[in-house]
Amino acid sequence: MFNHVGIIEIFAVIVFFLSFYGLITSKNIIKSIASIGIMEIAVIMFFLGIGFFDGMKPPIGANLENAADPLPQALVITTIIIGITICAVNLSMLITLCRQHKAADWDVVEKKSSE
Amino acid sequence: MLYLFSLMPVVLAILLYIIPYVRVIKSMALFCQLGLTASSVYIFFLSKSEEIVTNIGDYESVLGITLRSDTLSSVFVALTSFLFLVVVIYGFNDNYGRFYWFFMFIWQGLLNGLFLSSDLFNMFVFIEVATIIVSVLMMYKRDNRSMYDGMVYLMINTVAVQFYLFGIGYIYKLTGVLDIDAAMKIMKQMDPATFYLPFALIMTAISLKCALVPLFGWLPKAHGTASAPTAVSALLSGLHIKCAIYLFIRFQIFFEMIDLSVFFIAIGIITGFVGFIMALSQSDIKLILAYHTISQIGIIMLALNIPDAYSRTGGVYHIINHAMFKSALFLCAGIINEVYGTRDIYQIRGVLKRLPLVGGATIMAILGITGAPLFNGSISKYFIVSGAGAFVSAMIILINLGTIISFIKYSTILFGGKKQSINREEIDVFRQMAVLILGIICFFGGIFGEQFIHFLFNIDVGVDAAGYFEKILLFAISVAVGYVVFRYYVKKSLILKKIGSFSQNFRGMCASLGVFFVLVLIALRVLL
Amino acid sequence: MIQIFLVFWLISALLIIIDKQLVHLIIHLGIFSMISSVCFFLLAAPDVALAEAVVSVFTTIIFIVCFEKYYSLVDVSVVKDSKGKIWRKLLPIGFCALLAVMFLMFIPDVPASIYLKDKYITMFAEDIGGENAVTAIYLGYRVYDTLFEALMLLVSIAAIIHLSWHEGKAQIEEQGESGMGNYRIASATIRIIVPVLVLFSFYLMVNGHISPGGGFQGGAVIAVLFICRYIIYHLHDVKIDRIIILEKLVFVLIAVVVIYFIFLGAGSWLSLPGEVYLLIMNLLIGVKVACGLLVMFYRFVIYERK
Repeated sequence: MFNHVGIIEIFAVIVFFLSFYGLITSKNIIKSIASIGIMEIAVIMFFLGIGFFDGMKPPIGANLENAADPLPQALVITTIIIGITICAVNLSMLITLCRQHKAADWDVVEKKSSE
Repeated sequence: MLYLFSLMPVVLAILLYIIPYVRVIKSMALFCQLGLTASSVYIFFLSKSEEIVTNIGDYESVLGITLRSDTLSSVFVALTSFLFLVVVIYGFNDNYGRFYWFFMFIWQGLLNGLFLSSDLFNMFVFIEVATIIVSVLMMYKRDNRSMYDGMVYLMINTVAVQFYLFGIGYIYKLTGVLDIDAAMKIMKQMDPATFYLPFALIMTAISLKCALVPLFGWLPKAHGTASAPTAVSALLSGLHIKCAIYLFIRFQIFFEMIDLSVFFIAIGIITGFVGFIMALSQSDIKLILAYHTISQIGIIMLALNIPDAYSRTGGVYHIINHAMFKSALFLCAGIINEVYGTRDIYQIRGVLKRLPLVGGATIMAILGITGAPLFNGSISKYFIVSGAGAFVSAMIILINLGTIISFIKYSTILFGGKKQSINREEIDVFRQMAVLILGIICFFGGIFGEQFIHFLFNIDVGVDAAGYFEKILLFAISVAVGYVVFRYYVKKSLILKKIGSFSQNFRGMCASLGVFFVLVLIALRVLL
Repeated sequence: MIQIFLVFWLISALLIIIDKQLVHLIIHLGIFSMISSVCFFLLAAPDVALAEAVVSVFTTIIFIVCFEKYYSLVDVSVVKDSKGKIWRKLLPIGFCALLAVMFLMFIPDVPASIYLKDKYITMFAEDIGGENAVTAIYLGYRVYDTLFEALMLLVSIAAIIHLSWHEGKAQIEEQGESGMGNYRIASATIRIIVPVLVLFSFYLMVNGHISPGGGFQGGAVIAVLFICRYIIYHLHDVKIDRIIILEKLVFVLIAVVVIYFIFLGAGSWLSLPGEVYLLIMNLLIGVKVACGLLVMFYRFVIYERK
């Protein structure tokens, strides 16, 4: 069935939905933030796996025979930076929320903030 | 030179941040915004005759990033500049501090960039940065409620964008390019079935950004959050949601061989109904307006999926109209909230006497959103219905009826109140000016609707006099029915109160994202 | 080789999701990032591996600060695990399994297109210069993305500053503890590490166009260096306000350089070789990223810690 689908792609999909499981079950906000981080890395893994096969070399240097695709790598660096900034902003919001409500639980925070 | 539209506001924002004098900042902001609006109108005239293409760096077209400005995107750019101009006028005497202008101008640059970009990954970058900016502006005053709302907004949108990113990863894998036009050419030679998965991933993400039915939980939190600056709420509802719809239009053209319009029409109808039912059950004026955005998005979504050129044009025109009247309503609601000190619809009375100009603008905007004859909403709804089948037209009329009922409830704030206690209030001139400009545009957009559509999209259609008379009759009947329903049902209903307290939490939103994804996949299997 | 690490990767992700103890999250996240970094390296992407490794250090530190705050503010004992019925636990698992299976069912079984890859690999040296194709794309063909990604960093710093603004400037006061300065081993180690790290970061920035690395990685290493220094000595001698202004100015400078070299086309007034442009950009981005991450870190540690 999967003639052209690499193992990297399948693992990326599994981890993607694993973190999705984390998102729909986690009661704690910190864990949700961490799940989003995992999701991002899963997508990154998928990007790097595009067109990859064993024995590929990095696209660096004078001799570029059998080199990996450089475009996903350039995109992924952008994605990593965006991911870390979002993580930092989320965490700083969380700290402010903690200070206001003395809680980091989705249900508790929602109840307290709608009062 | 298209990149200047996204870079100039950003550089300006940084300059505004560095300048220490508040007076200078404000005058400069107004002046620069005027310049930006003028140049966006200029670019509209240019791209109406011919598509403008800028290859950044003059590399071969697929290698680098390409910016394109066709009629659609230049209309959106002009809309962005105009609404920001109104908001700058509105906030001219506010004292929000320098961060406010900094974020506002960067936001504008990002929206312009998104509308002009024709590269899939580039769009992702713009969407992500804009999401952070919006969530920060939403919680600008850092109180309890808005903090939670902003955080939910940021997180659920980040999750959705991961789906989008996965989707463009597949597009890149299958076609080997990221440029929209180049990818479309390659996709035409391939089997449509291979693109089902990227279609589902990308459409799930965009549907969340559009707040379609199972995915609308974040919108009332974001647009209706109490303490967000008024201008921000107005721009969110008037403009920011439109960039999701813009993406929807783009991707509909992009995936032209995958025609899932039946599914989206169904979702659009449900969205329209859910929106106004939720709006009816609220008592906070900001929340009412936020839920009406959902309802109107349903109508727009419907229009964009009807396979008829007039309906689609009507849909795009309705996007512009919605931007006008919804921003007007939000800005008015902000002034009313400030004067009365409450947002409860049952406590505010006599706006028309106390704030005559604001009340007038509100009336014009209400007439616009309910599709009253002579106002802009009626023209766009006329166009939408003209291409739709009998069932869809009936649904649109019903949604409009619901909107009318809800706005009859809303307009109770305009009248009444004890006569002695009401005095005219003095409000800032700039604010009144901004609100009035929008209100008057609602009126002119109706009277000169045909000319306006001809001017924007080069589509000529005369509004048939007999048909229009029919519409006027229909509107009158709707108002009568709406008043009766409001008087004898809505005021007393307990069910509505129960519905009104419904709200989705973050986990629920994520779960509905998954449900929507499965629904799209099933629809792809079943319908195609 | 990659298969083994992918299995480890999956397990470490699983650990993050299912571990009930919240404190373990930091350790699991660290393991997860490290294994991902190794996987990226094995996938022939050393640039990405380097970036992920440096970023994960930073993420772990802000998570630690966040946890410290969390445990000092939140009464953890109140939050207890709810005793749900068994189907309440099975339902989400089944749902996610369904999603994954449907996803896998729809995966198109088509080989990856190499249309753009071939073009990039044959043309980048001539178009842009250098020997690193990733840097050439990152700073050349797709520099428009990079510009807005730099803006993202700037915006998020403004966001973080704004969100914790109410703490005010008065909050910076000497903390009672003096860090680990008294521990001889720690301070001796840092004395050895600092010059190596400085050298390493400059190596990354200067050689970004011919070897793995670049502005982002080098700048992040500098930031990590300052963070190490803070952890050991608890020094507050860094002027955050100046760094913030510097970061904004560097962003404008980057924009100017990009507009001059790329947007105006290769035929601008004086024609420099592409390597010069790449070098300037790498250094500027390095300074900007270092400033940005440092501001973020100091905001977190000094303002949020109290």
